[in-house]
This record gives sequence, structure tokens and C-alpha cells, in this order.
Amino acid sequence: MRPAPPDTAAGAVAAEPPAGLLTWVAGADHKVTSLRTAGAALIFFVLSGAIALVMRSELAQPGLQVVSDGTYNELFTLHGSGMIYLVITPLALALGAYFVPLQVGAPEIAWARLALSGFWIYVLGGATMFAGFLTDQGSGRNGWAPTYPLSGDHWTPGIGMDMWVLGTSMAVIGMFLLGVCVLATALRERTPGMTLLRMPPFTWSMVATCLMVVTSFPVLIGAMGLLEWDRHVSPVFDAAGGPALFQHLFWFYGHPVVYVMFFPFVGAVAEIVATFSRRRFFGYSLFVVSMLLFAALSMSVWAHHMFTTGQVENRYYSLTSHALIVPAGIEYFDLIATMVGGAILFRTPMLFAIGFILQFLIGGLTGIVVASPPIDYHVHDSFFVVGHFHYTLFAGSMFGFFAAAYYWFPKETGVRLREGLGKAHFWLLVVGTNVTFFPMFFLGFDGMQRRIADYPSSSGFGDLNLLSTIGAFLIAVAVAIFLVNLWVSLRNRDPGGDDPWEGQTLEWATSSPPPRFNFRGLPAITSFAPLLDRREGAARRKGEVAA
Amino acid sequence: MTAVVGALVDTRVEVQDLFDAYLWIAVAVAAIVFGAVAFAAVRYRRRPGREPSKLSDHKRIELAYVGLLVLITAGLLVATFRTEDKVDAVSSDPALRIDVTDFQWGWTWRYPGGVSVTGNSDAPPTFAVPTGETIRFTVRSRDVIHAFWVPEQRFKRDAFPNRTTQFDLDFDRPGMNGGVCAEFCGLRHSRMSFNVLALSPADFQGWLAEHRGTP
Amino acid sequence: MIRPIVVLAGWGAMLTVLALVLLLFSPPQYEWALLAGAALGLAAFGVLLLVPASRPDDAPRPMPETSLPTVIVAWGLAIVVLGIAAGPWLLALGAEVVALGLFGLIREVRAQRKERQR
Repeated sequence: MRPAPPDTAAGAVAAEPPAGLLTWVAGADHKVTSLRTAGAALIFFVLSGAIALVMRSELAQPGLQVVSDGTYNELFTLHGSGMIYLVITPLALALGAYFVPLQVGAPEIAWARLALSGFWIYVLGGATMFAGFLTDQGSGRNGWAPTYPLSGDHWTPGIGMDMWVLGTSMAVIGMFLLGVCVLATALRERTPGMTLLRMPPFTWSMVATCLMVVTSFPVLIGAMGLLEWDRHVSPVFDAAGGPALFQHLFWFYGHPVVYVMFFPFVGAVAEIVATFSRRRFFGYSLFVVSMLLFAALSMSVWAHHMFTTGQVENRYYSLTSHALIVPAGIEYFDLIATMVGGAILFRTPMLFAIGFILQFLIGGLTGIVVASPPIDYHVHDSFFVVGHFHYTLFAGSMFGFFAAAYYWFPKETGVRLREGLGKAHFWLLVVGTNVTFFPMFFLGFDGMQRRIADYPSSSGFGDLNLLSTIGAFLIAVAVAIFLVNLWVSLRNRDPGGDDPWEGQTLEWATSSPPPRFNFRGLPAITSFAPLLDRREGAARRKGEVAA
Repeated sequence: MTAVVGALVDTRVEVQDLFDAYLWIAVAVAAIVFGAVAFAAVRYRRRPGREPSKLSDHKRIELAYVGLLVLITAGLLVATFRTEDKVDAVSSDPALRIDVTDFQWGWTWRYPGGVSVTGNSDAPPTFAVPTGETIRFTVRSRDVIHAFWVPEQRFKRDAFPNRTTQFDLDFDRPGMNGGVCAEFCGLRHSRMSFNVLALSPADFQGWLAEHRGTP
Repeated sequence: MIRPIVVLAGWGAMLTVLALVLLLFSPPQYEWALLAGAALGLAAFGVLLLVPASRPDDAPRPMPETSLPTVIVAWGLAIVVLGIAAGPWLLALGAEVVALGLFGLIREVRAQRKERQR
């Protein structure tokens, strides 16, 4: 056992002081920053989810029953913006901020103060976006991915839209800063013996994620800055090619961000599948290469969001988009190959992991469908696409988040989440998710466009929309069960100990929760699954002794 | 965009066929993956005395599998590019030219001979087209980005301000087709719809004649 | 054993290849520049990242428990950004808050360095 770096001179290695208000506001510990970020993201999740329930109530039947056209436009904008900028991206990066330092044996995240500032800028950005609802002309109302000239000052006036533009920029700046810190940690702060090729799959998924964060997030900040300039100082995008230029700048961020919202969860699922199959993750080196290839490709596909403009090189973007099949296929192979030959235990994390694998697949396959320009000419901007991305982001990433939550909650708090409530949460969420989003493929293919408050009764869209709405309320109940589980588990405190799942990676080699500087001692780093190595080594020695 | 003289391209058939091909491949892949996961979940449940496999790599199978993925990708791309060439093709000699102007929140179609039909979200317009002929559409927007979508034709194209976009459509048989704006364009985006009435060429001429009088 | 520079250079090479392939399709300049720019941005980040860590491995880490000045700087920056929409008065207020926070931050970092030298 190698000696740990000595704890801070300023504090002896004694019992951790309880977290007071100052810690929650200004604590520099990456674990506190991460939990703070996740907590804020969950609040935004409930807000954005509530908005979705209002939207689904409106769409359940033809005719305007719940809100006006104008209000609906604000609602769908804050629903999508909330989920992408304020919920899933922060949840993904928060996971990395908590577990990358632990998995690489580091005592702290790189540039911890930067991470702390990133959190606050993100939260203030989110608050600014939502505060737009309180203004005269309403909040942002051009969708999460605005087009120009609609988003210009002439067609969408009012300070609420400016608050949306600035709030979005702040949220992305905050997450950029957090991503920079996570990447720096993996590349610079690894404990001796933790070579790059001994970093666990989750850490590699965070490296790939943060490479995209570092290269694409600044472009969004630039695009929003230019948009704000256009709105109030002097025209930027008003030439004939301006609207297309704005879309290029936006989608150069807008595509990688959806992979930022996917990779950390596929990494977490990889850890969970390995742990609950009691096996080393299969195909590690090909998995690492395919993550990096996946990330690089994701930077090159952005104009597949612009196929119907007739102004981009459809062939190139279709080529690179289809090429995503290769790394995605490799990852699926590795995940399933880890299960085959394993000894699988179906605890809640594993259930959510399997849910992720099967449901994300539907999102991924429909993604290949829309990667074909002629098909996209039909389904672009329809509910087919809405179904596609809800399968990847909700049925995929959010299930991956719940898998990670159930898996790592005992490490973060010292306490297990309840299995019974977990299983109820899982099964209800599976039903709700599929009932909500599967009908959307049919609605979209039959001609229902997206971002509409209402549709004519002659369209025949009413029945499937009603079904979808029922599903949405089932989702709400399932999420409520999760929140109840959090509450109940923290009150009843069923201790999980250091390593409740027989984990394989370094975070399980310290207390739950870990002390301020993470480790009081580290085992030998012999591979990307050092604890599994240790267990297998001990079992071998026991066998030799017995023989 | 290749110039195709005299050949009709039914976008509905072309796109539907391509979609069906992708759909069946997707269903097959999903069946394999779901099946594999179900198999693993049942066959490899944790049982007392069961030791998990220590195998963590198999380069030959992995590389063969990558080869398979590349082949599937290439196949899909070939099919897509073939269909795209047909759908994007703009004839050098269309039978009819129509100018479409989108605006918040309606449509104006201008036919040859000065016929112009317009309508908006208060009264969605009906535009006629002849069947069996290649029609050249030139689309532009008067204000923000809109999109011209006729789901029955399986075709959509964006309309931008300060520039025009051109595409050809061939309507196969007579009947009413719905049309909507598919690019979010502001307050009444939901209601920015239109109808396309496909008529036999003779009936279409009659329709044009009726509308010649109207301002 | 591979080093971090290999990861960054390797990924940058993938981006460069993708940018070169895009060139074959004759895109407008700015489109190609986005991908090429990303590769360059990555290189810049790599330079920053690979400045070696300033302290040896086993040195104590007197990182404070909390850093209120950092929070104040962050709030100040947010106020500056909001000032873009609200007006110069808010911009000025935000700048003052940032200055206040920076002052506190410099003191905090100095104290941290002194602690380390003990």
C-alpha cells in the first residue's frame, strides 16, 4: 500500500467537520462543487419537467385549452433550453467532477477554484434564463436552438430574449470551466502508477467529453455574443448568408453538446455493467480508441442539422454522420460482451444500465435514419426528430444518469438508496418513457411538425398525442418516486460502507463519503480495474495456499 | 445536382423506399441487440459457484466486427447518395415554374401568366398543381426562415430571406395534399398551413383560368 | 506508456483529417475554418495544460476548505454579463464586485503560498 500524500497542514486527519452554509456556498472541494452542481441541475430538471407537463397537457387534444400560442412558445423554449443547458450537461460534468479525481487517485480536482466559479456562473445563467418569464414581453421564445433573423431584435424584441441569450452564454461558460478542470485532472493529476491506459472507462469517457467541451463550447459563447451584438449594437448576420452562418456557429456547438450529454453516461454504464457482471470491462483498448474517434467525428457532423437548407455539403455531413455507426457499434459490442460470460446481479443500477443500453439504441438507430438527407427532408423539424432525441437524451442519458445515481449515491453519502423504491422508479419510468416518446415517431412521419402549440382536429393526431401525454404523467410519478427515495434514504440511513457493490476502481478504495483529500492510502495501480486485480490476486493466493 | 431531362421523380416513392430500407435494417439491429442482452441476462445470471469469465479481449473478433460495421455504413451511404441524387435533381426543362414566397404567417404562389394566389393563418390557401409533370419551385422568405413541407410528397425545403432555393416536385396522382411550415417562425407558426390540390393537367389549366381573373 | 500530449495530438490529428476531408467538398471558408479552428484551439489548450505542475508529488496541499473570494469574482462576472443587457450602471457594479473578489483572492492565494512554505 503506497503512502497517501499527507493531508493538509491546515487540518489534521480527524473527523470531517459537518458541511455548513459556507461550505455549500464557497466550498472548494470538488466533491462539494459536484454535488452542488447536481443539486442545482435537479432543481432545473423539476422546473423544466413541470413545463413539459404543461406542454403535453396542451398537446393532448386539438384546440388551445391550457395556454396561448405565445406562452407555449416560451414554454417549449425553456423546456428544451433548461434540459440541455441547465440539466443534462451539468449532470454529466458534475459526475466527472466528482469521480474523475477519485478514479485517477488524485486528492483534488485541477484548478478547484475555477470549478467553483464555473458552478456559480452556470447557476446565475440559469436563473437569468428563467427570470425572463417575469418580463413584459416574455422569456426567450425561439427554441433552444434559435435561428436568425427570428432571434434578432426586430422579430423577437424584449429584454426577456436578451436574458435568454445572456443566461445561455453564462450557463455554457460555467460548464466550459468545469470541463476544463476535469480534463486537466485526468491529464495532469493522476497518482503515480496511474498511466493513461490504466484510467477506467468512465474517466476516458470524461476525457472524450471534455475534449468536445473545450473545443466547441467557446463557439457557442461567441455565437451568442455576436447575436447579442446584432440585437443591440450593429448588424452582424443581416447579409444574405448571415442566417446560415449563424446556424453553422450554433450547431458547431449544438451537435457536440449532445455527445457531451451522452458520453459520461455511457462511461458510467460501462463501469456498472462490469461491476454487476463481476467482470473486467471487455475490449478496453478498442473502447478507448472508439470514444476518441466518436468525439472527433461528433465535431464534424454539425451541418446535418441543416440538410434542408440546401446550402451545405450534404454528402460530407451525411458521410461523417453515418460513420458514427462504427464507434457506437464498438461500444455496444463491448458492453454486451462484458455481460456475456459474467455473473450478473440485477440491482437497480444494473437495471437502469440495461434500460440505457436498450433505449439509447432506439435513439441511435433513428439518428442514423435522419443522417440520410433524403429521409431527413421528410422528418426534419417534425415529431420524428423529437422522438429521436428524447430517446437519446431521456430514454438514454437520463436512464444512464439514474444508473450512475443509484450506483454512486452510497459513495457520495455513505448511505444506500432503497432497492424497492428503485425498482418501482425503474419500471414505471420504462413504461412512461416509451408510452410518451414512441408514438412521436408515427406522429412526425405522418406530418406533425415540431414547436407547435396546436394542430387541427382533422389531422388525426389527437389519439397518439393523448397517449403521449398519459406517458408524460407516468414519467412524472416515476421521478417523484426517485425524489422520495432520495429523501427517505437520507433519513433512514442504511449504511453502504466503503464498497457496497464490490467495485473495481479507486473510488471504492476510500471511505464513503471520501475525506477532504480523497484518500488516506492507495492500493497498487495494476490496471484499469485495480480493486478487481486485488480481489483476484487474493483469491488466487487463497487457492494456492489451500492446494 | 445533376440535370435530369424528362424523367419524373416521385419523391414520395423514392424517400419512402429508402426509409423502409433503413427501417428494416434498424429493426434487425434492434432485434439482435435486444436478443443478445436478453440472452446474457438470462444465461449469465449470478448463481452460487458461477465464476465469471476472465476473458477481456479478443482482437480478431473485434476487428472483424469493425469491418462489418464499415460495410454496413458504406451500404447505407450508397443507398442514400443514390436517392439523394434523384431527389435533389433539378431538371433543365421543367414543365411548370412556380415562385413561392413565405411570410409570417402565410404563403404566396405565383404561377406563369401573372396568376398569384395568397393566404395566411386566418384562411389557409389552396394551391393547385398538375399531376405527371415536373414542377420547378423557387422558394424565398420575406422575413424570417420558414420551411415548405408537403408530408405526402415526403419533401421539405427551408425558405430563407434574401436568397432563393430551387427544387423539383412531381405529383403522381390527383388529390388534396396538406402542407405546413416546418421551421419555427414566431407566434403563429402552428397555424401557417396550406393545401396543394393535385389536378390532371386539363383540370389544372381550368383552375389557372379561373384564378387569372382574381387580383 | 502514452503521455497526455499523445492524446491531445492524436485527437487533434483526427480533427485535422476530418477538416481535410471537408475541403474535398469545397465548403465556404468559414465552415472549414470552424473545424480547423477547433484543432488549433485544442493545440492552444494543450500548451496551457502541459505546463508542468508546479509542486512535487508528495508536497502538502494547503488548498483552503472554502474560497469566498472566488464566489464573489464569479458573481461579479455574472453581473458584468447581465450589464450588457441592463446598462452601463450594472456593468460598472459588476466590475467593482469582480475587483473586490480579486483583491480577496490574491490575499487568499498569498496566504496559501505562505502556508506551503512553512
